[in-house]
Amino acid sequence: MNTPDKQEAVFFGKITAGITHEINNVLAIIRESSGLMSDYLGMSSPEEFQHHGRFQKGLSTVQDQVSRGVNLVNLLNRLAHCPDNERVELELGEQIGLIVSLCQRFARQKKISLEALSSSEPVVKLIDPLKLQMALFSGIETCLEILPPGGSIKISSRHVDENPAVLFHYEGKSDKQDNIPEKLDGLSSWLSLNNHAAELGGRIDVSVDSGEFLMILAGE
Amino acid sequence: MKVLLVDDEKEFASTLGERLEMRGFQARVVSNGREALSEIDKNPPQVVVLDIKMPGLGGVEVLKLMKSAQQHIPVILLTGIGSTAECDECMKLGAFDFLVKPVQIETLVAKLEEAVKSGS
Repeated sequence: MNTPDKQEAVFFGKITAGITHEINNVLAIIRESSGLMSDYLGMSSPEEFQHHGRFQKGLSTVQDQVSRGVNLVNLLNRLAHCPDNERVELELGEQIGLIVSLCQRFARQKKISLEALSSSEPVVKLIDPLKLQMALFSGIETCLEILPPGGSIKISSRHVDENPAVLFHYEGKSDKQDNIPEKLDGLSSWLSLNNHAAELGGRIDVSVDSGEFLMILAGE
Repeated sequence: MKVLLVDDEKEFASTLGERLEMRGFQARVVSNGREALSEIDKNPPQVVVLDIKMPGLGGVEVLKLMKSAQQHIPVILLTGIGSTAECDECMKLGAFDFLVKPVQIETLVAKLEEAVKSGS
């Protein structure tokens, strides 16, 4: 039986998934309509229509932005389906890729680079998809909080003593680097990360010297 | 080449139809499953482009009814996002292939030609 929190997540998931379909249809219409304009433009020459080049450039921008929008709604749709299953077998690298793509705006706003690193081997775990995404998001939020502009975050999956794990590596030139342990303790995102990790049967190991923390999940 | 486009997003289907006409296809457009079955019966196309998610008779049901009526016209499905399970079902039912919306016109044209060749 779903808890109230889970019911809320299911509700938001269903609405979001439905709306992403609608937005995708809107984008499909924009793509076809701009494509049709491009087809007609292609029938005329720059000599016949003096704004030919400008129109072509504009239509090309529309097509590029449609592709960008389609990519974003696809990612959002995947996230919206997270509450559909209590537990499902997931490849952690793919899940990291999903949340990293969805969090690019937050990182950009803080002028921090955020990257998912591919792993040399698949790291598969039977897990609650929503809780995993929330844990990954809290990890990203934590890194964004402690880093100054110009910093970078790299996230990857791996096995640690045969247990599936996620490594958050952060780098940034800051004279406040020494205060990171104190900073972490005061962060709600850090608390959330630890709580989510515990709910997933895992723990967080911190290594401030190497600028990283590791979420180690329980093996099967 | 005679193509039947079936999609409840009328603006999408009519624009796609116009673009296909510009490329030498004879495109007819309908907006629901019932109309599609009637059109297939009256004036069989060489290939059907069928949206999976439509109100009323959806793409899966249309495909099932076509197959039970011994219709062997190749069907290309258009799917939105996150419809993998339905696509798998349609492929098992004998659909020629599926494309994810929004689709590049060149990709659709190539797929239409491939589908008609496979049926001839």
